[in-house]
Amino acid sequence: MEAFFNVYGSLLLYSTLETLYMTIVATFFSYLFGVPLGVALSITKKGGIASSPTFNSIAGWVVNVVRSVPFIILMVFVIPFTRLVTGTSIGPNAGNVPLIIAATPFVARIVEQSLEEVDRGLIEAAKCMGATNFQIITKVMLKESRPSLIRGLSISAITILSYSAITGTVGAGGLGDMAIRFGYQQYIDSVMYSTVILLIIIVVLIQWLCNLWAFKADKRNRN
Amino acid sequence: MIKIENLSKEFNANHGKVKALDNINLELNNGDIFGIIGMSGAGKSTLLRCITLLERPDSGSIYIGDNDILKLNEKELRSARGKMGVVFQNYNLLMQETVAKNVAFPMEIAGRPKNEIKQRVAELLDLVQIGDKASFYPAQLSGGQRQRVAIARALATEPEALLCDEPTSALDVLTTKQVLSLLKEINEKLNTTIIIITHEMSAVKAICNKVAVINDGSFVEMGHTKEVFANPKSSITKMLLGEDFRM
Ligand SMILES: Nc1ncnc2c1ncn2[C@@H]1O[C@H](COP(=O)(O)OP(=O)(O)O)[C@@H](O)[C@H]1O
Ligand SMILES: [Mg+2]
Repeated sequence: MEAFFNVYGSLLLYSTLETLYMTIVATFFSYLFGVPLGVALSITKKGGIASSPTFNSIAGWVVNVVRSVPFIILMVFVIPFTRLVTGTSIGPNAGNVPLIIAATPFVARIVEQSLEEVDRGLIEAAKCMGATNFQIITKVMLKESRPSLIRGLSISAITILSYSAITGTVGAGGLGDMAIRFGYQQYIDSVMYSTVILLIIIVVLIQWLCNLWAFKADKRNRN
Repeated sequence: MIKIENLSKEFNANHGKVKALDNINLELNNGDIFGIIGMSGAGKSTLLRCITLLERPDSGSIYIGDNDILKLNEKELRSARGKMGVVFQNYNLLMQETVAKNVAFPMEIAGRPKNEIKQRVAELLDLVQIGDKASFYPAQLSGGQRQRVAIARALATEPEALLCDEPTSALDVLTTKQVLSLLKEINEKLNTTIIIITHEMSAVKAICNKVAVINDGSFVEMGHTKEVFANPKSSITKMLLGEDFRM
């Protein structure tokens, strides 16, 4: 045991940090792009505050297409773009490019779903008060769906985490990379198991933190 | 101050067209508490949704003051909306915001200065007698208290008229009485014109000086409450008054 940690301990730690880095950065950027896209999908729906069937079906179609490309293929497909953005095709930053491209439409759908839960009557009440669409989005839709958005964040972050392990197959670093290089290519089972256990711990932590946060944030729980 | 002329609205339902409003005419004077009563599906909510322009009528005019609100552009309409406060049956409060924040909301939207908002919120909460609940969340309040918050919110921008769609229909008898007397008090104190939509005769009797009875999208009877109820002409009015309630 001690011998194992002496050999692989620091590498495992480094890979864990790399995985956390990729997950956090990719989650941040997919929300940066995914939230506006999700809002756009939601408000342009029939009966939405900026109903536009044309925009909605085009945006919906693009989202569906990107989401239906298997991630491993998308990853290879966007390598030229990745090189353009990061100057390289290996390492965590390079891995984040396809990760963000794949996760953005996913996040958009998750956000769209949360926004669906906002009471229509509330949006109408805000309209009656003379709210602009922008005010309705920021002060009503995003505010009222906050607990649901936070729960969605845990789903997105965990999905992004598991995708980040796939980027390991093309040398993006992180626990996935380590599992492939030592566990799969060199048959060192203990490394394989360690990476899996570390990934499970991260998933459980994300879930637990988000649940706690969502509960704290939800003012409907105050009795 | 509110005048409605020849208002009509049709919906496309799956079984064909539904004429929800058929040539509605209505005139309110300042300080009126005007009851609009009718059975479920009569067109009451549609009428209110047309006045607040949540629904676009097919034809007719709606004058608030001197303006036909159907002829306003988006921006003019947003400011015209400040002249009307709306109270809904199911309150429609922001569940993730405090009582104070809910009441502040219309003023924030209108871009009023922060200190003015703060002061006015306190005044309004006192007016509706829940001054001690400012930092509570709606989930922590009873139905009657929630409706008080909604009324305070509707009054925030000093509207000339308060439009209430079944404001007491989700409340028990005692709470209904309290909310109705609050509306009456507001009407007297602030001289706010009030429209109350309801299916409950008792609500109209309690506080409305004028009443219109709506059935199948048209007014079948209209006038001063006392006169209409002393001498009901239409069978619908009689039924709502309970005279025809025989099985
Ligand atoms: N959005 C809509 N689409 C189709 N039909 C509607 C719509 N809104 C109302 N209606 C119909 O219009 C009529 C009047 O409805 P409403 O104004 O809600 O009645 P009330 O509030 O008096 O119960 C009903 O027949 C109802 O089914
Ligand atoms: Mg109704």
